[in-house]
Amino acid sequence: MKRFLKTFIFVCTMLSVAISASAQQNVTGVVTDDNGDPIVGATIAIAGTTTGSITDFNGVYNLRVEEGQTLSFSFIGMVSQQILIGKQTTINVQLASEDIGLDEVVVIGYGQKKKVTMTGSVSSISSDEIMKSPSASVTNSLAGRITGIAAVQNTGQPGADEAALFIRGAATLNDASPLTIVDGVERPFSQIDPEEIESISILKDASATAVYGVRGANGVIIVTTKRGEKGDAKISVSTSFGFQQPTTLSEKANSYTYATAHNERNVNDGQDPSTNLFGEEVLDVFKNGGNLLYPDTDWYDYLFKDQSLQTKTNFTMRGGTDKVRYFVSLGYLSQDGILKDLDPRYDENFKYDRYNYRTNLDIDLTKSTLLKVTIGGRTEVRNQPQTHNDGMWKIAGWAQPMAGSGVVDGKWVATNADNVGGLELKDPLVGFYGKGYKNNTKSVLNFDLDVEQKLDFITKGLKAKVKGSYNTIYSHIKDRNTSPDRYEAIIDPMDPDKVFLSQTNSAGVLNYNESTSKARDWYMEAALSYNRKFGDHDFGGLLLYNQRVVYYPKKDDKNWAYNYIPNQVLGLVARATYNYKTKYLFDFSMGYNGSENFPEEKRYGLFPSVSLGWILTEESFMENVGFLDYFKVRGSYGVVGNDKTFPHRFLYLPDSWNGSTGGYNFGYDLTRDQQGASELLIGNPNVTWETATKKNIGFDAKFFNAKLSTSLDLFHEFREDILIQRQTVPDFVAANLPVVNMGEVENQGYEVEVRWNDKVGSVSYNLGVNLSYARNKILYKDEVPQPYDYLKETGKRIGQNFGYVTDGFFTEEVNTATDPNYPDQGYRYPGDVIFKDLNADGSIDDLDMQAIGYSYRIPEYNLGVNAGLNWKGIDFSMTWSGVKNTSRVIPGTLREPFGGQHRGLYQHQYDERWTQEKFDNGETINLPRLSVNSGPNNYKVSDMFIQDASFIRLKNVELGYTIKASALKRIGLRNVRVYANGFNLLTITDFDLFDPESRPGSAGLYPMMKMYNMGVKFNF
Amino acid sequence: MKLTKYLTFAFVAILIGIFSASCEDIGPGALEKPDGGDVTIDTIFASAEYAERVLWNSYRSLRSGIVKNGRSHALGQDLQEDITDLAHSTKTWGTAKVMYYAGGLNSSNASDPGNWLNPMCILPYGDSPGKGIYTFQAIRNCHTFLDHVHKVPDMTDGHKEMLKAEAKMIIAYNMTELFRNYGGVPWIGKVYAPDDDFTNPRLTAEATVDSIVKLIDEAVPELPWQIAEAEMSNWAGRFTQAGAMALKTRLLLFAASPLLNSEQPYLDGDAAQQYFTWYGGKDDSHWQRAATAAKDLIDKIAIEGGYALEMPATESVQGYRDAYKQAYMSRRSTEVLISIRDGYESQKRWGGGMYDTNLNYGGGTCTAEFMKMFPMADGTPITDPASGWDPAVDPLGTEGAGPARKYNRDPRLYETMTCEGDDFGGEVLKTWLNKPKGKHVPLRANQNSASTFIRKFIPGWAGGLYPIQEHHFAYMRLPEIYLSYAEALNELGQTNEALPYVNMVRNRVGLKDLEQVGSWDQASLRDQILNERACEFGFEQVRWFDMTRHKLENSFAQKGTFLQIAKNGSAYTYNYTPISTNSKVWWIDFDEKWYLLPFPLNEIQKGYGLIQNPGW
Repeated sequence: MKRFLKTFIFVCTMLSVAISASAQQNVTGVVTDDNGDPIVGATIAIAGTTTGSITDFNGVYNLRVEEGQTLSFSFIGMVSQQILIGKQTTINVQLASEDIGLDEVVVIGYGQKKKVTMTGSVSSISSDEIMKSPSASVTNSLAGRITGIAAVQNTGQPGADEAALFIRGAATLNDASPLTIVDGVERPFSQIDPEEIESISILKDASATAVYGVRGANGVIIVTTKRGEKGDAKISVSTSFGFQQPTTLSEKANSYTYATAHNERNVNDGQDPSTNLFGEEVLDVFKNGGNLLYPDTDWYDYLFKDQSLQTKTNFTMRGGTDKVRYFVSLGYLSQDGILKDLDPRYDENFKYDRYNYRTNLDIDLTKSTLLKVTIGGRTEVRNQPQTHNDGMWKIAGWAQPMAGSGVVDGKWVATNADNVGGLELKDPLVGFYGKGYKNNTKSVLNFDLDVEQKLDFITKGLKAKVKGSYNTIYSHIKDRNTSPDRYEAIIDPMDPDKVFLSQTNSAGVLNYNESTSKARDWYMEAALSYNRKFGDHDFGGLLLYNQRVVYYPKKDDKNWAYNYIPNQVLGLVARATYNYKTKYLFDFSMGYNGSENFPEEKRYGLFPSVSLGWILTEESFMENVGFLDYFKVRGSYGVVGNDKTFPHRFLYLPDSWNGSTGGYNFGYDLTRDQQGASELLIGNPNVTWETATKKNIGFDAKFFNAKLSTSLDLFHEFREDILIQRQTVPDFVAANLPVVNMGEVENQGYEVEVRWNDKVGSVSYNLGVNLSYARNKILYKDEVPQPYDYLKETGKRIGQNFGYVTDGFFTEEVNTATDPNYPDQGYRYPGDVIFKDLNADGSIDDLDMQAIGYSYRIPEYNLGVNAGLNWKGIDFSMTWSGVKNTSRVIPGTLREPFGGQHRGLYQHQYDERWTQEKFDNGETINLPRLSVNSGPNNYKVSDMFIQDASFIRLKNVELGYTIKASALKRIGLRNVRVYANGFNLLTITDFDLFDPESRPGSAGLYPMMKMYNMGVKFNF
Repeated sequence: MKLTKYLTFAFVAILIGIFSASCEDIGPGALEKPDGGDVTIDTIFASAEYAERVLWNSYRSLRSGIVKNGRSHALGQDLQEDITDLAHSTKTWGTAKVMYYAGGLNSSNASDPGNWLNPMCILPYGDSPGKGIYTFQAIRNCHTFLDHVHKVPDMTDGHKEMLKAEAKMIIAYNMTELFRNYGGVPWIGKVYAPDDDFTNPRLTAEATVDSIVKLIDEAVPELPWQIAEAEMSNWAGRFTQAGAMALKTRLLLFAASPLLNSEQPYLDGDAAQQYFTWYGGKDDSHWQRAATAAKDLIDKIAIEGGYALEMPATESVQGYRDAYKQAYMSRRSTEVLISIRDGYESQKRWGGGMYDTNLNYGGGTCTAEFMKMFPMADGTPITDPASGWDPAVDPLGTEGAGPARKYNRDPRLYETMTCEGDDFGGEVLKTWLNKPKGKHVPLRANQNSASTFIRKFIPGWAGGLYPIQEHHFAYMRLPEIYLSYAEALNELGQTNEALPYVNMVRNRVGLKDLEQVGSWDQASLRDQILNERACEFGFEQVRWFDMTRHKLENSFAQKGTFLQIAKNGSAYTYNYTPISTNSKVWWIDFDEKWYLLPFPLNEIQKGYGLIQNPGW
């Protein structure tokens, strides 16, 4: 290939020399690069003419010129030089490499491509950036760093803190999560060690994803692991150490506030103050901080450590010879949980230990045969407490400050309910304390074998490739169940001045149970690829067959039919690329896929896409625009598909039945029911592919010697034939109706990226801003006709929140049923919420709910700001990420004080409640009065409890120093880097009830964490 | 070089080896579903065993009235009686409170198949498997069964006809339940395919009744009169001829009642004008139909036998109580006409369900008004001065211990609600308020609200263990037929002929004949029969429909009171306190719309012909 090119260039050079050989003066010289190596094929042009030349194999050119003319020396990727010709006959030029990233290679579906020739919409992130985040899951390092992706982390629980990822929002009523590919095979990547990752590419438009055909509609994330490089072994050993703290914990009321509020509520509900649960003496005790009989416990403070540790240690080795290249990595991550160690019998705290390992080998078996062995795996060990049926976080939310004193002198002391008027106490220790723990060890092994054979003997540029991959997961779960000793504090019957601990429950033995689960799949592909350049014409082609078999398909609890059949996916991929002079770019790709879900005649779908690009800066008329280094416009159009409708399979088959399901208990003493048979899913013989038509147009530009680079993408997606369940079928039909191709969604938006790199003296710095916007709209979902437009989900966002609209508070007692001034919402008292009667029918009901705020799923705006600085070995970087247009519904106890009963109370619920006094003083009041009776009315989902969850947060910050002292060299060290970094350190938001990124339901969640971390890395 | 070439071949060979192991799976054919293992409708109806299972599955649509652990009901974990004047739930989060007491029920939330915890109404118009509501699914299954059972090869024609009759009864049961909650409803007469025309408007009340009666009449001759003695231990609980005739009686009595059979509709509106919610006039022939249905069953029992009231072994308080308990509680009861089972009982069932939601959290707290409905042990109403009943002096008749205990009230009172000092599964009931903390019976229930809680269906516990007892929900018992017949006769002006049938029910628990405790005209006997039904069928889901079909506005609007017992030393004081926890909107502002339920708005909007009931 290279030889051919050289010949070709030489011939061209000779030709052009021949053509231009008519003038006065002969100039010759050598064009070299930064290293002094000759450049083959550099262009030498005489400004203002069409005459020019190209350097030969030795970088030598020869040209006839006139004195006074200007010669322009240029080569792609190099800074052009202009030289005025005087008398000299030899002009040697050294071109500086223009660092505008034109050599940058981006991983795309089933291959890689030079970024300059990309016509689709792909963004990527490299290992350096990924490693800046101390977060355990690599998914969290994507937020703010890359356009077109929303990374939403819901919880900080060790081993479960990965972000939910969405590419360009959502365009389907079904699962909108993207396809994730690791080293060419569909695999999750959230627990891969960031040290093992070379790059992550986000494939966004049709041109980029069409090769994934059936699976590509939601976008594709491609993770590529590091491979060996020829050279001496480069060994890195690093270790880091950090601690985590909750970002936001909702403040709960103390016992005195709780009791005061509870009494106030009782009186508000028209009860006699004598029936208040908390009498004056008890209030006094609370005021003074409580005691064992009447505790005042700050539960979050009591249960949670001030900080929990995270450590990380890595070893990597990379190198190779001519024949064999290797990358080896070992990693260990340990993340501690938030809980204090309360039960000495065992360790129930949340904990996550991860052991990652990887060996990637590239072996040149012959000059034309490459064998790639990729072995990656990990063992994940998760520990967590056994919890109450309601879950520990829900009970923590329910907990009252007087529910108990925690563990005192090794004894769990709960409060005697009679002390507090028989209040149904919710001691948060009930949620997990003394119940034992659960330990889950999960081993994942991925094994890939690739053979690439160059077929130059058939035709140059042809290559064949076979890949096989085998993946297994094995989980072993140890359940240790037990029960704790429990005591209640009561007044000693013998001595009324003493407190006596009465045992109400004795500890049980630590039981042992175990269970296992497994997963297994294989994947294979066989491909032929072709890449060859004929002069200015650069051709590429790919033809690929792939197939994947998953042996234990996921099943849901409904026991749908066909769970016993392995799930299969297969397809054919074709791609053709062409460019002319790296100036006009053309790209055609397609996926041809089959799905087990559709009938034979509709089983296969063809998903083509086409894209075009034009690099204007390669045009001669753009040459004089000095400040503009590079400008490309590109556009793509294509169709991708989706066949996923979990949990149903083989959708086209006729009705299926379950012959052994819920039955009936006849007879007198039969302990077992007679089994029943019932209809499962009804088939739809017409079911077929869901398709997405995607359009993308964009440009990439670099200015001022590539100091400033920018790109813009506009996209539009129309998803049709979305597989949905019909909603307008009457309930009396009572069948499990099949999915039909009826849904339609539109999704559009833009992505902008601006980046500035420069060097002032010895300081180099960069600043980048990226903004992604995606807005979807449901066009059709077979929604039941609604009497009012504002009730319709059609036309609105996917996941739009709906609720009542509040209109202030009542200030007088009214029977709204008879009072014409108010819509009917029953008897209301001062401090109750007034709702707007949207349909003006005189009453408040579900017809008065409208869209409020935004979607709870995916923020529409995702912003990232990145800045970095380097000075004499010191480096600093930070990433801010922000979201806008997303809402959270305040759930459960956080919404309704006392959970509507006698449960937890949060401080803000007390501070912001309506009282007559505050009203009379004209204070701002955000929440209704405390009342049980009015609870169902006041705490309906309304704009009062659907809140804007926009935020900007310092996702990441890092400061490092690299020591390159010669003293180190003597002990074989290339350098040592010490660094400190942080995660989620600062959040700017109006939303303060819980972390705005997290999404707890009424069950609550492990809190979101921030992290302070420091580490050292030795490079040998 | 040679070596590397050799290696190449080896690797390629290994690759091929790996994948050729499953070679038949490679290529386009891999996407075809492998043969075998499929269960289709043909598989089901290819054998008697599986065909019958379709029916057994449909039986699940019969809804028990007893709260079960881990399984919610249409009313969440509240009891139907909690929304009547007999009982009250002091649970702050229950369906009774949210939907009924607070008046929260509306056409948008009446049916919510999604969340098993979401409150709903007594019977949603739409299935909700999480709450054990399979109305429409069962009707569909039964029609499928009727359409296909002829194909079953290994089943006799006679057996097929019997099973078909059972399928018809399951449909009739579900349609009857819909009818008495919604009035006239669309008739679901076939298995609908996804692309059928779904237009299906409501039938008039009259047409609905007639359609159900037709179905029952078709089923009756094919059903066995009762399950054969030898089969009982395995098959009790299936529909029988007597059960079918009982359901017909219940249906026709409801249809004849003033809610539908009246000069005026209970509320005007579209649905009333199209006669979905009433007959369009008053006609005694409806009472006659009900009377005939009841009499047919009574006569047939006289001829065929097999069903009879459970009679006391001894004429003593304990004897009466045991007979009454056997009557409603036991699967072996001879007076149960339709029995509903939601599984076999385990300890867990009791621990979580009835105990927690009722005794622990305040469901099923009996009102003082209910307590007062029970007469004295000899049958004299407590309102009669001759009864000697004093609200302040041992009103329950359970003070003292052993032989000193009077037990001078209707024995059914002691089986229906917890009475202070009574024996409860081997422990002594302590229900006075503000008793010291400890393990008390019943648990630490109902806090400060009242002293009388549901006892029916709850077997009590001994030694801290919940007993495992044979159990079911008696959907219809023979006394209902007697009382229904008496009610219909009374409405037809045959008051004196009605009395013996009421007396049969009273005598069983030792109450005197009505003639001996008062004199009766049509109006007073009507009240007395309703009172008798409340005492006999407390917590058996009869009262709500008595209140709606007779439009007992007073029973809805009358603010309830709780009996609260205090104990000082060994002296009891009895207080009657208006209910303060969870007050009912009906007490302030009752609306007749509550007599029938609202159809879900979504169903109306689907446009197949539903018209909303008046007032919703």
